[in-house]
Amino acid sequence: METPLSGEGLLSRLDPRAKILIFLILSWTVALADNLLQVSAFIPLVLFFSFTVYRKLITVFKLLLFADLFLLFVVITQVLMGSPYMGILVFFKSTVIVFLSLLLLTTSSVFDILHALHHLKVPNKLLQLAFFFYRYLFTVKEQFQLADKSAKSRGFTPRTDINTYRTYAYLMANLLVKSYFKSERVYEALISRGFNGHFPVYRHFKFKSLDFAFMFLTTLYWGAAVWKFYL
Amino acid sequence: MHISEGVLPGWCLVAGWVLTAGGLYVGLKSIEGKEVPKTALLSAAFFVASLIHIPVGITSVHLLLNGLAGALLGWAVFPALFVALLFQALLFQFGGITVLGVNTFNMAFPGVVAYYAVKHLLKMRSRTSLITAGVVAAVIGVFLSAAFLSLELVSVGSSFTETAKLAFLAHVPVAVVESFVNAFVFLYFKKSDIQLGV
Repeated sequence: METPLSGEGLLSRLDPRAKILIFLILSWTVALADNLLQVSAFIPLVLFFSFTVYRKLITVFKLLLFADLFLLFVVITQVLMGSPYMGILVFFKSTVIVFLSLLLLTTSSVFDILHALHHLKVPNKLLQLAFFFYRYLFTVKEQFQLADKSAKSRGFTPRTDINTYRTYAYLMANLLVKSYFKSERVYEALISRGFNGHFPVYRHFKFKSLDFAFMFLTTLYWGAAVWKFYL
Repeated sequence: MHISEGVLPGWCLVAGWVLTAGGLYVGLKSIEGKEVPKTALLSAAFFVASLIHIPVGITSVHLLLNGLAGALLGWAVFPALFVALLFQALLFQFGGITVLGVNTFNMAFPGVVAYYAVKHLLKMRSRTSLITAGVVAAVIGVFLSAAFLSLELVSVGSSFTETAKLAFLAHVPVAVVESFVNAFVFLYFKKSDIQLGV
């Protein structure tokens, strides 16, 4: 599994370092908004970015629709039992930030994002964890699916009873044990290949004029929006 | 439940990031060499396990498993859950980046508390102590997370009081199911004569 919009549109050609920095500035500004006017200041920018991935807009909307049950829970409870204005404000803030995340972060591959985070001084050990996590996530998932299928083929039907909870607990425990022992084999394999705690990278980022233009214009837009609606 | 983007006020988001940064610092210091892939793979296993739909009456729940993760990983639960939540945000847009600090703290800190609470019970290795450890880890993990979540929602404003109450109540069935699951997981480790941990 890759990021939903990996390699899609003009934004995917930009340096992920620039996109991460711009995403952080914009998303924090929207997160700190107090009213709908401040949030709406960033909607034209989001729409402009969305235009660059117009072929994947259905994917974007599907992700937005199913992205967050918690948001739905907050909006519904606010409209019914709290302040409808807060519900609408939270909905718009969240939607704008998720759009920004989809368009700026998920247009790069996971590997490029982690590589960019390395350049942005995120601790190496944390990134190693993230690399290993992502590398083995799907192996672990396949292992679980196989065990689940095997249990179901033996007549296991999930119900609300202690037997079901025991079966799921044993499947989870088995998965944890297998992952634990696999990690030992992974580490030994790494050591035998001379791993010293750093992943060698053969493709390096280069800041192009397109990246400078993106950063300059977006920061200008951000500055104007903050000056007009926040100050 | 992970808090989504745009819900919490700025000070709460910043406080979440500061507390998570502290937890990450201690957590990353506690893992060296082979513990790095071990933490990552256990984190991946917890990630997959937490996606399972477990039936409860006419509906189903996802388990948090933060108490169990804390019991096995100790302070390393901070980086383990941080990475898992980062990928949830990147791949499925669950949670988010500005709330990553708060969501990590909500999940990982109760995990650390559960670690200290059940450490001695797990060492005893009797059937009763393992079942107790499972229940204690689940109760601490789920209810402390739910309490943090509800307090953060209340901090948004008085209109969020009902939302916070409902969010807390939604965790009750999760705690019950997770108590059973945790207890059986610890019993499985005993049966297999395996001691995990980072």
